[in-house]
Amino acid sequence: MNRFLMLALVLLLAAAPLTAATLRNDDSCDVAQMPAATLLLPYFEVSLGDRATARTTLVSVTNTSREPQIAKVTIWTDWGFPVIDWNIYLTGYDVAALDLRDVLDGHIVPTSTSSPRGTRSLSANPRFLSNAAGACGANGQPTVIPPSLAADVIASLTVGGNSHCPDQKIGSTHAADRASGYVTIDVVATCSTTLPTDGTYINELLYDNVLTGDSIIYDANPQTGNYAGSSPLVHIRAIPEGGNAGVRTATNLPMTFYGRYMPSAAPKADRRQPLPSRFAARWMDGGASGFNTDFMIWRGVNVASCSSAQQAGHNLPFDVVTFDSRENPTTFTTQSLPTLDATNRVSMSKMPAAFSGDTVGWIYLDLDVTPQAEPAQNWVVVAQTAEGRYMAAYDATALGNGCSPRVSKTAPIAPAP
Amino acid sequence: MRKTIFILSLLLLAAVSHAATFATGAPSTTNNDDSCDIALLPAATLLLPYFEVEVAAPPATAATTLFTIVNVTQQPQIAHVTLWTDLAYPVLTFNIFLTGYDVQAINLYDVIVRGQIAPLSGTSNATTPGARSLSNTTGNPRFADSAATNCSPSSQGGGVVPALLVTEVRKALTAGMTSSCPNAFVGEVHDVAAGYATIDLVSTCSAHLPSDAAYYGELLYDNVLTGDYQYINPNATTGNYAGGNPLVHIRAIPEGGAAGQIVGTDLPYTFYDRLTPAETRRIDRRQPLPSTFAARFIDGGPTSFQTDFNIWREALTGTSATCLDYERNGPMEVADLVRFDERENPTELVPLPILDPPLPGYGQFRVTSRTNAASYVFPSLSGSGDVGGWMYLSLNNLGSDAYSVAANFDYHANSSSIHGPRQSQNWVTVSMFAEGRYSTLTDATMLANGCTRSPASPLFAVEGSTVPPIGPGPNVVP
Repeated sequence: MNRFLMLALVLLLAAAPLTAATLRNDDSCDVAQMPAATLLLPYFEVSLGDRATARTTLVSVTNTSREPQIAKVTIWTDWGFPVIDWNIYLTGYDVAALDLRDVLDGHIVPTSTSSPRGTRSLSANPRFLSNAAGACGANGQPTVIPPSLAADVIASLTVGGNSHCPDQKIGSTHAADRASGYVTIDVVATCSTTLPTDGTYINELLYDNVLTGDSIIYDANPQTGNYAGSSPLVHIRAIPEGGNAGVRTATNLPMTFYGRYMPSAAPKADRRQPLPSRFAARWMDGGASGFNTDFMIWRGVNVASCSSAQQAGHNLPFDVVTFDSRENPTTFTTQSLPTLDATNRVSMSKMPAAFSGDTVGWIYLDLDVTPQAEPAQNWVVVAQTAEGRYMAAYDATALGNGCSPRVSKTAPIAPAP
Repeated sequence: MRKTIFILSLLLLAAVSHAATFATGAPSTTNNDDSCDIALLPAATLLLPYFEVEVAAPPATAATTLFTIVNVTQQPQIAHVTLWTDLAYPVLTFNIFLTGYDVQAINLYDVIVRGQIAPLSGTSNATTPGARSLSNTTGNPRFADSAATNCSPSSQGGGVVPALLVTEVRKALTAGMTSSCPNAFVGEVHDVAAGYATIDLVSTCSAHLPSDAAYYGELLYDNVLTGDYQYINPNATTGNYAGGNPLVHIRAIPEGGAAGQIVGTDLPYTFYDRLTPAETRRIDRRQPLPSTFAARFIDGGPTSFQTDFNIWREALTGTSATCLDYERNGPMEVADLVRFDERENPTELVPLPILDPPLPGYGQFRVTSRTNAASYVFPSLSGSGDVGGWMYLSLNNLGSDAYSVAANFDYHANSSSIHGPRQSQNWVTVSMFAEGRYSTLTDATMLANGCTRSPASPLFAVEGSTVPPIGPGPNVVP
């Protein structure tokens, strides 16, 4: 056979579209509620007033494997600046619950290698670094946040002030006594104070999809809430899964969740699935049901320094279209586009209003940022509340996975191809 | 000629370099709608795994379930809704005509008690499309010719369920009785109306049920629907709270094509497998649901939270089921349940002594149910005093002769599917509530996708099988 023809046939076979899916676990770009290597709490709020009535956010993390795991928790401001991190040592099949109010009060739930383990749990994880036994031991794990650091954390999350960035804000200023931001939780190989923004973090990051978790927004104040709502944490899987920390393994993902913090020589070294840009979220705003809707919107930003935190906040969404219950579309004029920080709670009342007067419908959110080379990563949670007793919180529907190419503003709104 | 082939080669090479499937490495695909994972992405079928409606209570205080469907495309779409009893007997079906970018909410109290589905403007093709929506009549080339007539206001029954049918539906969902099966129970008996709902994308409005072979000539394959649901309990004594969650989004893979068209899928079996025609068992192309889950629970303690698990399970019966067969969909075995407390102490299902009267339902669940996590049907709480932890649920019902599986997939050997060729499909949601004001609702975490072979059961192990440790499913399946 002519060798060119053979080459053409080989290539033709390679290029032929597959007629069906991968059947494997941890083998696609789809973000699903399955055990993961990174968990993202896209938005949290904590009131710092009287504990009996304070709004807070509870987080739980479960290790679904029999091996012990180390979960690195990092709290970020709403401009995407990391302000504190600590480690949770999870024995096999362990579950840990955190009240973020406790953390802001300076308390960390004690976990260490000396925590008792169950009869089905193993004592060791071969992926741990050799220093993990000491670093995660009872003596290596703090249970109290030093007062000066706790004050810094509170200042960062409430008014954007931090002693490490005396001349620049690293977060926005909120209503009195309200802290907000987001949280990442990563599987790592040792207990340390290394942050995801540090170049050496990649030497500690692990790739086993073993964690699951959820969050509960809990508002005990009858004046402002009197309800609770929960949603799963965003489960971000490492693909391919497995391997030791610091070992570079190729991934077919076009970009990754932590890509913006990875070394330039290995921009996809974290192997975490990227998050999508476009979402469909339902809204109710008044009317007979009395429900109101807020959107908790997380956006991936690259903050490497005090000054870049200032720049990273305030991105414009690419496109927002409100559909009322009669499918009438309304959108922002260019002048009225709202800026969005790294994480936000945005009322439906700030979104394009349905001119029909309808009080229900759905909203299309394209949260891409056009100047960037890659589509921006985002997440949206819908919170609906009414009557000081009802709350429902759940994820918005992504209109494509994080590997989907960006779409033109003039293209019809639709799921990604 | 040689030059032409070379150019062809270059073009193909370009196609390969932009391809989103990969012969080596992982992920093997970055395409949308190309995996077995259940994710919150637009879908061709939506599952409301459990609903409850207090049919005897007045509207002001009746607990109810609402669900909402959104069409995220500019084309009009038809959503076919089917209500099933908790023993998987289909009792009511209706169609929602969605114009492009339409949203439609359904309150099941309205349907089951008042006989009102939705305003006619929300259920027929008479609705005026929005400015960005395509024509109701010509906008979707996949619609059957009959859609224009069958989805018109006159054919849609005015969005109203006839009174006799409402009574019949209510009786089936509360007492398990229906005039079609006068000598058998097709649902369990309870004070509330309980069951589950499926919502499928179809090409025309009809009264066909998913259990009818003709239904698979109407089913469409476009992943364009999204939706959510809320449980609302306004009764200050029994509830006073609400919880919301996405519907289960089940995608058609591969996506697209005309109704009735047979297109191959690599899915080993599908969501509607037990109801599809014998000669085309995977015609629906819907992703299968998984069998193993991790679900958190709290039962008391300082927060006073309680936890219910809403568990949906695939029925045992197939298309040849008689009225009497539906009772088989009552309490079905599970492969394994293990409760871990906060100190990782495991408690397991254990063989019970023979009691008189016997303890009903220990380690067993019907097709859809709501069960408190502290119930005796689950492994007991450990003696540690912990009131929280998580539950491992391996919900395979051990298989059924009504199930199929594709060639080359061995789900029987070394698994807990001892009564059929494969494990069953399942879904779990976790509902927590406290103090008559707090309530939350979230899905449990899947430990593997539905294409993954279920772990062998320690209770019903096939000879020679090994029971793997509890954990996420392996990457390579089955």
